[in-house]
Amino acid sequence: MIFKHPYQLIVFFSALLLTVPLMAAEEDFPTVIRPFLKQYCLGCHGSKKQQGERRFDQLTFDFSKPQNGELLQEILDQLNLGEMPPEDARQPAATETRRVVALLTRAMAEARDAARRSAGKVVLRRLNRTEYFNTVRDLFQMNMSDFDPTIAFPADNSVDGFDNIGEGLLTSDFLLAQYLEAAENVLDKAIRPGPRPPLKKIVASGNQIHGGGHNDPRGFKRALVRDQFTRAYVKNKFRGVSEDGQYIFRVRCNTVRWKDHRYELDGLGYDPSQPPRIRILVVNRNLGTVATRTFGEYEIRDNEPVDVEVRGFLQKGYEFAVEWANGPRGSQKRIMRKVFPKYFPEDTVLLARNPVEMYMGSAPELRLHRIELEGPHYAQWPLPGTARFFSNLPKKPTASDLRNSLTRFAAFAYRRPADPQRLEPYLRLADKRFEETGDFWQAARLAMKGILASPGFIYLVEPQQGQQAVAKLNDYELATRLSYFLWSSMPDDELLKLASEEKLRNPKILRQQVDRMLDDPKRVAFSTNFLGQWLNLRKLGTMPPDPAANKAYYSDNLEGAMRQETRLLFDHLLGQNQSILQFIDTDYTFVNPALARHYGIEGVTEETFQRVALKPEARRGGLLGHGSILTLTSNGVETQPVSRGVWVLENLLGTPPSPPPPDVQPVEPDTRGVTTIRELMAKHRTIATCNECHRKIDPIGLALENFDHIGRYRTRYNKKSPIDPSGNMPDGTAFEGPRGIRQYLLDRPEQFTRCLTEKLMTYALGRQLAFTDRQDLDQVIKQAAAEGYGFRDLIHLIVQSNPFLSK
Amino acid sequence: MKRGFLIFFALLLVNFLSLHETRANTNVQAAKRPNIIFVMVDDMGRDWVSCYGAKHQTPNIDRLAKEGLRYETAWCNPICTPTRVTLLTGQYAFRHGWTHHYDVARKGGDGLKWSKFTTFARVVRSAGYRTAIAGKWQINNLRRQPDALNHHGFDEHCVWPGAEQGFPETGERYFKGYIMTNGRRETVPYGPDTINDFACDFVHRHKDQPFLLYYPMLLTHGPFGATPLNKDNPPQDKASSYAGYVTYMDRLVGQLIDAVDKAGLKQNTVFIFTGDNGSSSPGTLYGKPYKKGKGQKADWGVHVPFIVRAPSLVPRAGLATRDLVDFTDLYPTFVELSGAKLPAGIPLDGKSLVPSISGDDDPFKKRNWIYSQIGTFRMVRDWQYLLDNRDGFYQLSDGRNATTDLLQTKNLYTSQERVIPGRRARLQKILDRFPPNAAPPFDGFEPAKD
Repeated sequence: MIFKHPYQLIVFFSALLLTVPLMAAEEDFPTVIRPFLKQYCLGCHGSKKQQGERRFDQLTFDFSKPQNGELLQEILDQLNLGEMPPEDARQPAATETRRVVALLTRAMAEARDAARRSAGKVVLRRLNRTEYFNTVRDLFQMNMSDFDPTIAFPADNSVDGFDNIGEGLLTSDFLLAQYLEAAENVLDKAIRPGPRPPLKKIVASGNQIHGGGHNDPRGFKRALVRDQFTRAYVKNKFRGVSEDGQYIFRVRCNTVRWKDHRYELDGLGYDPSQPPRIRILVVNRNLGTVATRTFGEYEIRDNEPVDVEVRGFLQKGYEFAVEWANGPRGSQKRIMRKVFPKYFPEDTVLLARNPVEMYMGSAPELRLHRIELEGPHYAQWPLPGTARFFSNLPKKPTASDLRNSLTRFAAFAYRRPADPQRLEPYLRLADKRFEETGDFWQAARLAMKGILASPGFIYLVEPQQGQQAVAKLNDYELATRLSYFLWSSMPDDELLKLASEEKLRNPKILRQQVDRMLDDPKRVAFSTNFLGQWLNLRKLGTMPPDPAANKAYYSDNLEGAMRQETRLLFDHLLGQNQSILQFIDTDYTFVNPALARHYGIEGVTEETFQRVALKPEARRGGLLGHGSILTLTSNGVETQPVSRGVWVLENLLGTPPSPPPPDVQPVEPDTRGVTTIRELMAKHRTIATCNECHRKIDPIGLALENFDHIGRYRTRYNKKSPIDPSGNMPDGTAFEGPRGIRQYLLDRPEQFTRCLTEKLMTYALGRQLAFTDRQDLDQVIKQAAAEGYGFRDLIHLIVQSNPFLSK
Repeated sequence: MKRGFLIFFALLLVNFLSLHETRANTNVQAAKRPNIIFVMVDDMGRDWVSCYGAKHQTPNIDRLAKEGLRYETAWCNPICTPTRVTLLTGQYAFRHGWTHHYDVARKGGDGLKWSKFTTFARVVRSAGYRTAIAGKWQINNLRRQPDALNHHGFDEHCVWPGAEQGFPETGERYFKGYIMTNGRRETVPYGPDTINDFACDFVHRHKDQPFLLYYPMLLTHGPFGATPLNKDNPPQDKASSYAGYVTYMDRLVGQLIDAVDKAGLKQNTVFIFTGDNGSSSPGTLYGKPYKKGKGQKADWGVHVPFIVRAPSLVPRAGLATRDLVDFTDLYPTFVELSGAKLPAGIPLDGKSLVPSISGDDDPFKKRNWIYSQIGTFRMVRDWQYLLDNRDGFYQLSDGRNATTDLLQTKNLYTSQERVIPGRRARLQKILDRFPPNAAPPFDGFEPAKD
């Protein structure tokens, strides 16, 4: 490996710290396994012969050598498969094999566990992608729309269901290179010395407008359909705006013949009962369709041109574009081949290319008269990201200005005053570059790039070397942990100020701060990241329903609505400090008209999400009635009771079933004569090894069968087979349908509270929980129950708990 | 079978017209009934008019375009008499029978029979318009049928009667031109001047009364020579002589425009300028050399300038339109403008241009193909493509630019490329409706030779 820059070396060494020493369980090795190997294996895989290049005589249970682990796993696999020893060799007795297999299986599991766990100690944890993104955003106070510096970072691994767990956040050579690249991109945008870029205005009217449909000599463009080919831009061959900044986009347009024309609506496929709308997009024509997002939709008028003005942030290379949001569907070609000939049969040929001029002027059309792009505008220049660190510079900044500014920057980037000794290499780097080139900004950028790729920035709380007992976090560390818990980002000025005054550890102030943070808009990171991972909401949409059979799901954007429903419940409970047991059952939910239609709730007309009371006979209260959960546990075609059962066990009860044992071959049960999924699964459970877990999983899943694969309520699969949602839990509790499960869960409030608290703790601490946390966890749960299960109270309890305040 | 179809087709068109008539009447009656001036140059296509991209400058015609509406796609017939009869009768050549050129004054015969055809002038006059013809008739022998022009609907006339056999003095039309004004025949110093003065005078005399002036000009037809402008330095070859004719013609048009404007009639006069076939001397179009069009069986034979100045109708002056026009559309246009009633039973092949001139967007009220014929050669086109009955299919325009293949160099008849088969199929369906030939309009009309 070649290091081009000194700071690369620093990053590299810090990455090595991640190697965790492995523990070994050795006691059975010499007494059972080694004799077994000697008797049956070493003849071919010993010191004399190494068939298949395998040699076992030097094998030990020391997992610090990775090849030992690999060899033992291979031995286990071969024994399980019965492939070794070969048929013509001496065979071990069945009991003997079974014993060795059991021992090895357990030993391997223990070794993996040991390798994973750090026994409740703070592990070195880096920022994950989301956190990096948010941290950069807040550090430079940048607008991050259409700009994602983490785009090339590898995906973060999930551990225990969360992607902010130190054990899973590995660092690689590749990632280090990406950090440098990302830092460079960020600095290009954030650090902008020099004069404010001049305001430019591009005006296109009539046929100067690029796209937008047909030219009309009267000075406008006319679009006949709402397809992407009639999208309009300010200019042909425009490579987007040349500077990041706020831009104003104005469009003058109207429709004509919105309602008044001779065609049947069926053929045109649009809804004239709504007012006509345009859609404004943010696009990057160099990048193509991937870089296209909707900025907003705006109502316009028929016959009378209106000016629509929007103001938004554009990254360099991006621009605004406009298109018809709700005009006739499909292509002009389709209309001229299939729709139009019916209206003018004598002069047209069906399914031929009739000229569009025969149609243009008789149908609804969008007329774009003028579009205008003006910018960049800046609320402040220099940009906040520059001004924050480089204020009050003299005309000719000196080396000491450079040092001061970089020190100030490092204090923010490291989220604590920088250790002068650790900062020194970066300052020296900048000094040297400044001396060589005399270019202040080049030198500053170089050092900043280093700092943004250094452990102080990339890693959160760092463990102390040679740490013995559990140590308390200092104020800065607490500020950081708190802010990454609730905001997934760096602490803001207020938190850092309290930390510098050493006030944050004061329980009263800490409580105030948690309340302040939960009321801040940045809390959306908490509901997105925690909720998305706790409930697997992120998985929603990875197995989408068939578009042909589920049209409403797409036309009404039900997926987004479902996700929003769940998020609103979370926000509501958190904001109002409502009982977390409402996750299990409530008498209200949040719907928009589309979702209300989907659920069969009447009386929702306003186009926003609103809280609606659920009637007692409704089956929707709580997460188990949410379309999001019911859809993400299905495969898009039909329900999967096993997935639903496992989901409840994992996420509500906190008792995830073990995965099928590795030495069990999947067996196809004899499924002749079964008609329902219930019967199918009953057959499956006749196999003892399956039954062990499935007796817990299946009843829950089957009880939810009243909800179909996109969460609609049903009482029968088809005419012949009604749904039977009854069941018995392994402990003998009988229940029926979704309400039965809700009751089962409500009867065990402690179990759900423990599950949620464990998940919250894991997420808050960024590490796996260990047996050492058990006592504190119990304490939190007990306290939460005593205080009435308030969600916000639970957050407070976690923040004030020992594990949260300690390393 | 074919005849049955034709009758059906004719009825269909009449239906269309009557529909339009009711609408148009309200349109037109709202304002004062407009005067109509129709100027048709002899033998000049778009390639000599500067507002169509010709190098030759025609400032007065350009002025008309600037104050009015310029049609980019207007078709007549490839030669003089079929164009005139089509214009006057509102019928295609396969219906009226004048499928090729025939000079009645020179060759004899009954010419255009008023017992058989009702010209637009007759209909418009019946609605109370004063009507006049200035220029050239050529489709009756005015010596044998001195009342022909009156029978055809013109109260007044000032025409060169055509070269009559046995009367050599009638052969001259320019210098020492032989002109017949309201029946009085005389030799004048320069025919076009006399006729233009008549036209201006007619406008002046009828400024208080709706009038129709049909002005098929003598210029820019041969024989070639000088004009009063360049007679001191007469042009030596045909091309420069032709150019001189165009310049003089433009000047005469300017005088007529001035006469209209001075009489205070600008607002209420529909002034149409066009040509009767392609140029007899090749000019330039969109900056490129163009072909001599006269008599040619191609787009350049029939594609003529067409400018309408009608301030009371045109919503915005100075625009160009891609709406399609052919000469059958003028008859219903004049009828609609004058508010006249169509005599029953006249089959018409065109559609009124009033919606197009008034900026009505509705394509159902406009033409979606136009047609031309000479002899048995027939062709039909839409906005982009041209199809003839000799397996020719050409893309003249791509819909954005008018210059894709103006000179029909690439025959796409057998092409299977993208839209071509579908576009051809439609034009074929339309072309197939038209019979290849028609009965001669009178005894002695020679059948087409081609």
